[in-house]
Amino acid sequence: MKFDQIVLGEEEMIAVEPRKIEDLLHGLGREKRTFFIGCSGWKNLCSPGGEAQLQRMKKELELRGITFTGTMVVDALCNKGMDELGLLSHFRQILRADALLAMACEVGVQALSVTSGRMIVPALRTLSVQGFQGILGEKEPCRLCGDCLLDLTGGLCPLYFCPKGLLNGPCQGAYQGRCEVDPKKSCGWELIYERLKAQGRLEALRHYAGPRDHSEVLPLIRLRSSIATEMRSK
Amino acid sequence: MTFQERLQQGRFLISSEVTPPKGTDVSEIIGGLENLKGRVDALTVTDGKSSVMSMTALALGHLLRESGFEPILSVSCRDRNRLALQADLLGAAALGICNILVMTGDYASMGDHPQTKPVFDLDSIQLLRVIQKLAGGQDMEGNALQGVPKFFVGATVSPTPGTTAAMELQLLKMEKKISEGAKFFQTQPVFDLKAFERFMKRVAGFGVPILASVLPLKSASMARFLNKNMPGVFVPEEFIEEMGKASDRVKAGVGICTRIVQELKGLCRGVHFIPAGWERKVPAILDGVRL
Repeated sequence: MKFDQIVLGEEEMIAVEPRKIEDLLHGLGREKRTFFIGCSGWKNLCSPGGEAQLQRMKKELELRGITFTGTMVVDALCNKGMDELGLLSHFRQILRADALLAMACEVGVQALSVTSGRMIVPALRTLSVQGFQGILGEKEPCRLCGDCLLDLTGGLCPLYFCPKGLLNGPCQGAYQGRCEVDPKKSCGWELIYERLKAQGRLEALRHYAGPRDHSEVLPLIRLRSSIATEMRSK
Repeated sequence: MTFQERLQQGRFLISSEVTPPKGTDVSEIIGGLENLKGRVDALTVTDGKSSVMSMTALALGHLLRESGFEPILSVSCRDRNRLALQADLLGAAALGICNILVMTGDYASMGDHPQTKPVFDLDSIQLLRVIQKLAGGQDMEGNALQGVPKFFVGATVSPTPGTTAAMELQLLKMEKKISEGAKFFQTQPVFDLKAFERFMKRVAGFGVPILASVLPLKSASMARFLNKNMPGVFVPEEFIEEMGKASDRVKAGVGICTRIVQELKGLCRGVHFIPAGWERKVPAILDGVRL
């Protein structure tokens, strides 16, 4: 089966699907070695894949020239405790890797970014979290834009941390590092800068992020129509 | 000769900011600009400045052009999605307005319609790329245009944004803006000339002209207000003291501004006045500068 035909839990509450392989290759491109982390998800809540899907995706990426130092599957990547245990048990392989590829929803990607302090490339895009917005931890929020940039922003989502949702760097409104919209909060782009600096990856800030595809934003037409069909049949 | 030609010739340029009225009567605004004729190279028309609703910059830009001024049209990303931005840019070009100043825009909650939906469909970098594409004869989706617009595009930068991270980010974003087609830059108001000089040294290699904004001080309390509330603006204590002690505050404000412009003349390629109601004082400031 082809990479982009891998079907993940569209019927679950958290809907995810593989990102475009070109985006993954771009994200991993300048990195030489990758450690691949899968997430088996939570029953009835999400289905981001497991060992079988991970191996299929790995094979496809290996054909495109990506090398892996190892793989592991964690039960719930959004649980930082689980991440830490997993990271410890594979630390040699992880240390040899230049980037971590995470096959999980964006909440899991952000949690892993915090626990590992490494560059994380999301393998999936999160499309919908029906009825579950916000419960997975307020510090790792996903705005479900379907167009994940977390690999370029050190695992901090600019759509959440910047009220203007700027994708290419900050405005000029921050005052002493504080956001112009809410001075109680830090400028999201300054947080992204510090995170990337700690990872030695400031060059990621030179990337041009294109306009977002709002046709993919919630509610997805196909998800909405399936909900509507269900309601009619009841 | 156009603003673009003058900039390319390497002359020291003067522009001044104009904010459209809340309403339809432009006579007072245009009348107040009469004494700037022949003294400024261009007038930058603001686009919903500070998120306060006012007449569209496009209309005032057109009226200024008819009155013999060369407008620079500010285009902010706050109020329009990609369709509306492209539509207005085509409209501007059709009316003969080709100078565009691209900016993100203040957040909506800061103005007089705080409950509005902020758009930010494109950011300033993406908008710059869209403008390049329009000038190449296509809309951003690649559809052919009937009649190709000509633009001369600038952007904004904050030379003293406060923190080290903010400074580095400003420089990175400035480089991105240049590679997406920005041909000149306007800054936040400059008072701290030493800090501005350090900024100019860092961007010397970028090869784009910079117009530093200057804001005439009206009182010591205005200076303190700016220091407390305006991002990236620092009025040194010596200016605040001078304003506080002055018996004639207008004279002191004009004097300080004149000295700042004189200093800037040696540092950058032009100044951009933000007169904030003191349009009539701009000629007096210019009279004091050896241009």
